[in-house]
Amino acid sequence: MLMRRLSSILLVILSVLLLSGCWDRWELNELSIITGMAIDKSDDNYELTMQSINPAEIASQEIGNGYAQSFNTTEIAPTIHESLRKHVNKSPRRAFISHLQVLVISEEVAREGITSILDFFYRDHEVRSDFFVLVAKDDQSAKEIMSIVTPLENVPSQNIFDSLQYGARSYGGTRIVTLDDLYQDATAPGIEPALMGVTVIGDLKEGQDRANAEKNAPAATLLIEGLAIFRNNALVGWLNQDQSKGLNYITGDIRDSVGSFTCPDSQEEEFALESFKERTKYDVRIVNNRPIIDLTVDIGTHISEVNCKDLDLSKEENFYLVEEQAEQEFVAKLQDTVQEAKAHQADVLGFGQMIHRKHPKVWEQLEDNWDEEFPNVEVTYEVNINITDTGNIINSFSEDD
Amino acid sequence: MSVRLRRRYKQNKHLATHVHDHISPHAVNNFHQIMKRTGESDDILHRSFTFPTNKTKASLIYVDGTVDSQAIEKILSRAKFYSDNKDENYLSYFNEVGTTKIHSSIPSILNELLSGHVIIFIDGQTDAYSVSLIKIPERSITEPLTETVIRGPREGFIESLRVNTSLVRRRLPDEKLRFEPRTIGSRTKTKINIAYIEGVADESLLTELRQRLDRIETDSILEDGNIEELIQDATYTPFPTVYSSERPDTVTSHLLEGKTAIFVDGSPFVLIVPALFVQFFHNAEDHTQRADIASLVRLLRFGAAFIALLAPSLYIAITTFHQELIPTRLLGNLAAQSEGTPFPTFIEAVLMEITFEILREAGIRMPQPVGQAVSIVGAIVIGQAAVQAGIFSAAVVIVVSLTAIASFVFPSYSMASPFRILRFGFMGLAASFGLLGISVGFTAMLLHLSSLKSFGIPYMSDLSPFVYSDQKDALIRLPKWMMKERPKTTDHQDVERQHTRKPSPDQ
Repeated sequence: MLMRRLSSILLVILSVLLLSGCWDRWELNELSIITGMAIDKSDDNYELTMQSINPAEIASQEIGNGYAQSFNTTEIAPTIHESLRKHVNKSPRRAFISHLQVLVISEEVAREGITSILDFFYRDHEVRSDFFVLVAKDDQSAKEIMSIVTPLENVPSQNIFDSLQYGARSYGGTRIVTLDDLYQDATAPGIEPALMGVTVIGDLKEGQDRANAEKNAPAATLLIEGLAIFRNNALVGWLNQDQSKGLNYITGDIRDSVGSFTCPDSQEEEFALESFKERTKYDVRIVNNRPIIDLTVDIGTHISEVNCKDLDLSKEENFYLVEEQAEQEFVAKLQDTVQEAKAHQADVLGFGQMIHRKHPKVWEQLEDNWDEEFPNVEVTYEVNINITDTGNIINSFSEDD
Repeated sequence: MSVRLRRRYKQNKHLATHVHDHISPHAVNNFHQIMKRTGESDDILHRSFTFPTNKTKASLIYVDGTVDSQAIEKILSRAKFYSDNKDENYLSYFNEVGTTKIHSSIPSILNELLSGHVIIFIDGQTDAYSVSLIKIPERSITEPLTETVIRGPREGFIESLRVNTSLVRRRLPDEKLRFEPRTIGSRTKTKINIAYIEGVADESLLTELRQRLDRIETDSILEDGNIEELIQDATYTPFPTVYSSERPDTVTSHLLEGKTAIFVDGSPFVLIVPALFVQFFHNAEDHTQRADIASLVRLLRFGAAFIALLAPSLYIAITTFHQELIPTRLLGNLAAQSEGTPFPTFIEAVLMEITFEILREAGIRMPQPVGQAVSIVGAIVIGQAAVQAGIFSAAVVIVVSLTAIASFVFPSYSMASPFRILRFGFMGLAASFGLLGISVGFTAMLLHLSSLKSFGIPYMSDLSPFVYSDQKDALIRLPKWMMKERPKTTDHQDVERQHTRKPSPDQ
């Protein structure tokens, strides 16, 4: 009796294990790990470029042959998923996109709208939503950007990923937008997405050669600069680097940055402030049924470089002079950013959301016509810069010493 | 001398042709009777002597090698001083040499003889004297091989029951400490002692244990493991429900917690019941080291147990089903290692695990001088060469080695075995269903563990059912002065243990 029961249980377990087992199994050496994707337009179809890493070359062991660390394949199909699966036609392995790090969209595609692209990436179970989305700038095709062999990180997608990640922590001119952020900005009312731009500078032909990575001064490098701004999920214009920083200050997405300002008593000379603490507060007032947005930016800084001849930092009042000078220039930068966004009617700053949160009733009236209303919103700026330190020295060297 | 005796016995063989139970008044006849019953075994010796004072003849029989031969000479040489007066009889005379009992039938005499007593038949008496002069060669007390400590006593049990009980008695000279004798095994007649502290140990547990021991009907108990298998609660489980220890200090501390120990003659291990799951992760050193490091090391052991159980299966599941869980750069490295390896990860891991199990078994059974060869073959051929030849990926070798090392962290060897067995099951589940399979398997294992009992006490006690006050000495160990009470799970009477206050200089 016991034996019969045991053997029947064993039979059930074995059939469950052996008959159904392993259907979803993919060994590591059957997968092509895709870390970068580029989307271009080819007539009415998508031209999808996939960058797979070559694990044997990437690993620190000495098993590589010195081949390229990654290789690209390009497929053309009406939908993104189909072109993804067609990858195996050109590569011996299945495309595995969970480790996608960077998605570059060509400007042409972005101008037509990114909603249809987002659908696949948000729908597919294999995609993780934490990769960065960028737009190819200066008429560069996205495909070409993925083909530059760059020094230090030979894989372009990895290069872009690291550059963005560390750039946000040290300069603040870049903006990290993951698929999640993009989806939120693209779907939420009262805010529009802004995506980082990327382009190639230098000789494209030489940049695609592996010799490019071996040079002291590479013939071509990738440049991550500028923000593509969107209206109704279609690209409408670009912010330059300073405006990108301004946007980051307004949205409070900056961690650590450096800015140059002119000296208080001389227009010719500059000093630099390193900011290490930043907080942005906003308030929305309704005056005459029109919303006015009050932005307050508090920045903790220390002086990191002084080229001013006649600035005596050992005196307290001079600190206030420096702070005031920096604040004025700062406000100008923020104004410039807002001006540019207003010019394109692209509310990448999220002013609509600010109004929505503070005065939902007013927002209801504005919502339907927000694209036209956005440029008319009045903004006041208050920047408080607080200098806490002058670094290892107080005054700059002068001829007198 | 024995040759001469033997010849005489053969001449008189016809005298004892039939088997009988009563003791003959002729001492020599009794010897012949015994020789007939034991089939003329070579190790049974016979000496004849006469008490000079009353000219009475006597026969002395013993098993060679089990008795103190000097004491026998003492009996023989002192016989001439024996005076047959009223104050002194044979019993008190023999009692001067060793504890003496009187027996009146051949079977009981045989029993005594074969367990190492000296038997004396005296002409004209239908009783026989058995003198306890047992002197069986035994190992000296050495450091235990399995439960080693850095700080703590170095004594380990040996194969002699009496020496073992004395080691515990020395640590616990308490009048309430009881050693209850039992003899189990119709042929081996193995001596067993149940040890407990009266008033501390649970009565119902003792009754249960006595019943279970009495239920054993077997011809042989050679070792404590035999007893364990015959008294444990659940037989269809890989988990041990009886704890065994080689250390007198461990046994003493368990007795003080209200548990019961079973000493088995001939085994250097002492069984302790009831056994709880967490207890197998405790070590004598946990109490000799400071509480903080003892707690951390305990947690480390539980962590190592997880590694020993799940590391290969998690590796299989993650690399073949859930590649998205691995950081990109690590995935690149792992993928690079699996480039060109011919087998699926599961096969690789199973082959590596089996290889390791073979190595481990070989390492234990090998004669010591050859041991080194095994480790060289194991390390170089199977580890390094297999990876270089591209048969196994280096990552699998790393995972299997990590698992192997983790499985040696178990303070109790008997708890390492279930983890060894279940590891393979988990690997199968991982290869078929990925992390889902592992979580289902783990849940099933937890359910099984929770259903186990050791002598009526839930196996997962302290944790489930959760006993708050017993957490002081479960996953971690708190300082001694905080443990004012005995563990509630195993002890219900005489709960209070100490009143020591927190040590501080002003007291």
